[in-house]
Amino acid sequence: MQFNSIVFIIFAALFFSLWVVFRRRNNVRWVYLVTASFVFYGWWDWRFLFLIMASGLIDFFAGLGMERFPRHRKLMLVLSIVGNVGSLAIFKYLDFGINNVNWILQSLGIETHVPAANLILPIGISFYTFQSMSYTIDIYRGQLHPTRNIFHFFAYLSLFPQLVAGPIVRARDLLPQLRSVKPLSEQQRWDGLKLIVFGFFKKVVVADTLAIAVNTAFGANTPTNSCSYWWTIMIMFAFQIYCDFSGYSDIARGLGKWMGYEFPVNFNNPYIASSFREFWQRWHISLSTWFRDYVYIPLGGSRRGKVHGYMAMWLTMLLSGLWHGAAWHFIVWAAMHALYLSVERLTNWPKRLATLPAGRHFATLAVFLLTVLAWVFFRAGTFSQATAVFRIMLNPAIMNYAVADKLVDNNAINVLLIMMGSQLFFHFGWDRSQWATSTSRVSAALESVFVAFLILTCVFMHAPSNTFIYFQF
Amino acid sequence: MRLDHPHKKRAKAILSVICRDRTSRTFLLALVLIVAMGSVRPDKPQGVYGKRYWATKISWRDYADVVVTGDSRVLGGVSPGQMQKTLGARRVVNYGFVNNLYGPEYLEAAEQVLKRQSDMKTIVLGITPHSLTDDPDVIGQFSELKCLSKQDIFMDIHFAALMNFFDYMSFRDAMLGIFPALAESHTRREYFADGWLAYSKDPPGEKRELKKYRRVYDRCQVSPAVIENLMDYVSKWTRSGIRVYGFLVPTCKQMVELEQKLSGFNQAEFAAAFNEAGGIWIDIDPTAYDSFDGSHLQSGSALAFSHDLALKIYEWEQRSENIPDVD
Repeated sequence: MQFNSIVFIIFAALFFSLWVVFRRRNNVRWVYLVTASFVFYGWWDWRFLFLIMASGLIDFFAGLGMERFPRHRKLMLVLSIVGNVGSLAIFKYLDFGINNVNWILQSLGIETHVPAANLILPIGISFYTFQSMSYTIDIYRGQLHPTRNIFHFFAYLSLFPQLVAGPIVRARDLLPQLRSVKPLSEQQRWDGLKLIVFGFFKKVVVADTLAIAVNTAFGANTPTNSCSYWWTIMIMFAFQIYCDFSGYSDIARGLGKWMGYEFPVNFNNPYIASSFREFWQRWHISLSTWFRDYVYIPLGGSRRGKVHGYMAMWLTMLLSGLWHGAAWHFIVWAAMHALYLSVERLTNWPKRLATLPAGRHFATLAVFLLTVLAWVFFRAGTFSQATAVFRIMLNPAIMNYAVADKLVDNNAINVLLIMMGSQLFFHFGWDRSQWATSTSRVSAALESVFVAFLILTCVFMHAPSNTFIYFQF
Repeated sequence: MRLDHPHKKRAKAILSVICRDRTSRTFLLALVLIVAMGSVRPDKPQGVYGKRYWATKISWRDYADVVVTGDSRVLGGVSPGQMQKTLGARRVVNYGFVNNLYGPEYLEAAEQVLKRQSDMKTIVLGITPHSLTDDPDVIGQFSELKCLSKQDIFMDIHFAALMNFFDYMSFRDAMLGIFPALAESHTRREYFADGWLAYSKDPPGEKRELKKYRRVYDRCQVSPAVIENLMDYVSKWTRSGIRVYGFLVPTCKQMVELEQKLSGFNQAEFAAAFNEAGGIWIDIDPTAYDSFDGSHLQSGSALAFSHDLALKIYEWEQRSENIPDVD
């Protein structure tokens, strides 16, 4: 079930009608949450409910086992990690591995061909396995007590707003919230509505409109030979993926607020970052912090010297690339970011640039353009397509302005300009100005009218529906 | 009066909650705006609801005796109702789609539309040079509609009024809906259950499509592979007893000249190959009818053309003496 579907709107209306009644009843609440979440997830393919249940049961019992048999904590942890990484390996990485083995065998002149498994990738598997793993790792580290009630655990693991595309929530943050029942304040309802409306606007108006131009560009048999065209398309993609993913997170957070729960902020205007370090503190924050806490720091982080720090950072970034997709072009995308971060650590160029007049603005622009360049490898269907587009973008001699016709005909340019305007609004800090933060009655009324207009826009000016990009991860 | 009192009290309480609560107030305002905006949609289509029209059309199977196929020029240029007046008790449908190319999937689907039990199975192929290309930049409407899920088709057919009310509206549409006087022209669209989509523009616009087609033929030409595949289907169908007609869809004079020059289409060669494959090529003056945009026919011209086309088919049938006279 997708957020941007009529089925989901009916589901949400039913859920919240009954939630008012059930949220105060302790045991019923947990069963209701789990049932609703399973219906939400099972709507795609009910068979994958067994996978999420199996993965969850391993972690639930591993958590209990760690408390009951403290001497075997490590064994329980290994069991949990093997279970989660194993299901990821089978469903997500098996065919990637097979393809690489076949390629190596072919290179060695061996004529054996290992057949591909062609398994369907269960939606959101990367999200819920990581969420599940953080539960057992936190118990192992002594930062969390395991829950004894299986409904509590599954309510945490499968909570429908954030189940398939995050934000990745830690058990130590969410389980205490699920246990408490506070009355919903008017402010929470309003904040929830704003987040949901902004999220839908980002997805159905911005991302889906941009997707039309981007998909046409990448769908052509041979890439259009124009540097300016591809820069425009890739900037469109940068905003498409941002609005697609952060739109989902906003809707999830808004639904959470209506349920009375707080999910972490997942995106904080990443394109106004003036360094790559800052970019990763603003982009997919719940995943970045997950990798920091469970991969980068356990690898030693930067505490064991510079070289070790670089190695840990590269390994973390490459794993993050692999998390996004089982293909080499995702790994190259991650490697480009690792390279950007390495150069930044070595030279500290953003800080040096910031000391010059207007230097911070140039640093922001440079980080943005380099990020756009890296997105080529993320978006391209194949490695060869990525390299072809990459070459065109880096060749300013190919400036075919005639192809601008392809872009002017659609709404994507208007949407892109609106998004770039909004980024400048945040970049220059106008969102913190007095008129923007005023709580007067007039400001409140204007904000209500603005949100009502956004709802109107989502209803009538939405582009043809697309699946959320991050569902494939 | 007294009996109503508690209800009034409750209604008042609910109303006061709505008025005090910002979220409810905003929802209410949005609802008012949505209803207002939906009502001012400019140039509202007539006839069958658009969503229901497309969902039904893509679902046709075992449905008609005569299927007219092609792209948007056929879609807007052939009225089955008008043809039926001449052809008699046969169900005729227009199976045209926007940006449609003559690929195998479409041809198979067109064959499926024919009634299995019909003893007058006829396929009428409306040919345009673009429909014979393999334009890589085009994702035809037929392919898009084929991807609709069963759930979407169900919603579009059974909740058509609602789905149409919430149909996409551009910013420009919204402005023209609010200020109709700003519109330079009005386009009228009428969806017919037999598959025809009638267009009329008042006043008729410039020949804007010419510029678009110049770009199209810059990037692609008529494909011999597509023609060969089409001819294979024509001979397969005629061998299996289906009568197959072909004609060049009328458009404006400038477009005919442009397509002769740039598209790589040779009508004489195509007609000869068509007849050789077992089909019956119908010669029609492609410039005898009015187009409103340089490519598609005005609805009045479409009716006239449909009558002429049906008459030519009828005359051919009379000559071959296979079909009985119409009352």
